[in-house]
Amino acid sequence: MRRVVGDPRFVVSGAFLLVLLFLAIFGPMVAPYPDDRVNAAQQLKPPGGGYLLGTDEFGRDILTRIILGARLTMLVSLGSVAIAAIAGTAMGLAAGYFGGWVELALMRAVDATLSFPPFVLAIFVLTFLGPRLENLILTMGILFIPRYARVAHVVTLAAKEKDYVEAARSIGARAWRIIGLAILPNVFAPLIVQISLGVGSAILIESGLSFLGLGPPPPAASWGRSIQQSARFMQLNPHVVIWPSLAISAAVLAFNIIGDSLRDSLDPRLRII
Amino acid sequence: MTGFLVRRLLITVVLIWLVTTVVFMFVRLLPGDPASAILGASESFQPTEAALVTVRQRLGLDRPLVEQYTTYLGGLLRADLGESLTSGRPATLDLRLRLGRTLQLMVPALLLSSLLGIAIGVLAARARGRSLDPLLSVIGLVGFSVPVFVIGNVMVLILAIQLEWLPSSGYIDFTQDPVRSIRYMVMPTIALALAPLAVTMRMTRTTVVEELGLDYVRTARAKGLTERVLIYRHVLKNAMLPILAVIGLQVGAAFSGSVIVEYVFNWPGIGRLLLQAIDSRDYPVIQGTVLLLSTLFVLVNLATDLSYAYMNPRLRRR
Repeated sequence: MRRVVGDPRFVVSGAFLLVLLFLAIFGPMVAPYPDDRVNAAQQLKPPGGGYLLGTDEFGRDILTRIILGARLTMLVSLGSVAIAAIAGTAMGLAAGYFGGWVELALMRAVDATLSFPPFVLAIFVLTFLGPRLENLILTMGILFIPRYARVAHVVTLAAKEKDYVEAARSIGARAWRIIGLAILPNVFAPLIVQISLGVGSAILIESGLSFLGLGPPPPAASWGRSIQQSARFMQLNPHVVIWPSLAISAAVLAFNIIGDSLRDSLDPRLRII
Repeated sequence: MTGFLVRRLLITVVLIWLVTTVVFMFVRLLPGDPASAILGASESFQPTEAALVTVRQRLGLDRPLVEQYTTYLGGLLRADLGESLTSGRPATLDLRLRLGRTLQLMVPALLLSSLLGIAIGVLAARARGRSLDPLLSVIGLVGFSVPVFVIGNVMVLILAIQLEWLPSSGYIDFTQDPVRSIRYMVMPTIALALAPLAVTMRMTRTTVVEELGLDYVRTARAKGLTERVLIYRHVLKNAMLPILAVIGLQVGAAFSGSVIVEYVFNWPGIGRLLLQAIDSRDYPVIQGTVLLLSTLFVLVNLATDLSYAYMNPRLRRR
């Protein structure tokens, strides 16, 4: 872990993500304009003059919209990855440890999930379920399960052969105890890399769905939807799309950089090269 | 190999059946009534019971589930996906037309991303330890972190609005006016190619770097092979498996990317068709589009697996 902390990539991206997390939680308290109601007199103002990043086509402060939008992005991406990581790891552990029909059933279910194009399936499901926040998180969570299940499965298969697992089994430890204390710690390193990269791609999918108008409906502020709605005005006022675009790109980039940095320090084989 | 082939084909058939069944069940068993969705029901608007009954009859939703399912599967086997609710034409007509236009973007985009991705990845691997490598790494990281609609907007702002080199969006049939048609293709193709290019490049770099550390490379160098022959004839051949797997994944991911790219550039492909069908609640077309895209996705995975097994005989035994 010390190696990661010394990595400037990790420190910079980590600091950025802490700010993002802070905004997601306390956004409404720190935003320059507490309410983001329509203000016809202040439409499409360039950055400056009380509006640090300018205003959008409804006269709303763009900085405020971005701060408020952080909550949706973080909620959806962290929520869906949390669901996927917990369910996927549990499935992978169970499949790897018990083998037999448990393994067959669980890993076939994982294969089946992978046979759908995730973005298209998310569009399809949300069309029928309605684009509510819970639906979005749950759908994306299920679509992300395979990558965590596969990681946990592979690691468990390898760890199961270790002497300490055999020792635990021979003194009569229960299955859940062996899995929890002897096998699960092996999963953490690869899991945390996958979580970081997974949140990055979750933000891409969430913003993509919001951009297509399939995300949670207004009044919830959303980076992806701001871009879609303001795109008509970008010819004369590029700032209306530039700021939210930067917000999304920076958030995804930060999670991907952290993922890379963690992988470099947690996977010794890759570090050498 | 034959055993592997048969087994893999059987799995594919099962997966396609699964995809069709899941799509069928989603529409019929989920909470929420497709008939009222088609009629545009919302909190402020409730369609009349008579209208709902008419729609259900038209779509066959009033019949028993098992009967609906057999009719549906029978239709699929005859390539009958029902009629569009908006145009009244068979959904397959639109699907075929739109899929062609999507492939018109996807094929060049993926060729571009694969060739350039491998070339730049090799370049980065050979530049390891020099300043070019971290620079290329950062570009690669940015390339797959920036959303495709942001890339699209940036290109429109610069190439279409500022420089006025290219039309900002739209489509012209190639047979009508090839030159103008290609001008409309340029930006969406590049937008679609960037993310897979970055991913392919990263994978190529990692595997080539790994290969370059192996003993046979030292032997080859010792006997005086030029770097070009060494890299392109020996190293790349061995590094090809993981690169190929990643390219296969990118083909699948490009179906998702094209939905957004077609929206940004108003390109009338299959992704645009899906969104239009959702807007107009054209449920047979929605179902048909998702079925077609998912089936293609399964087939792409199959092709990747088969080429993988062809190149690495050890995998065939699984």
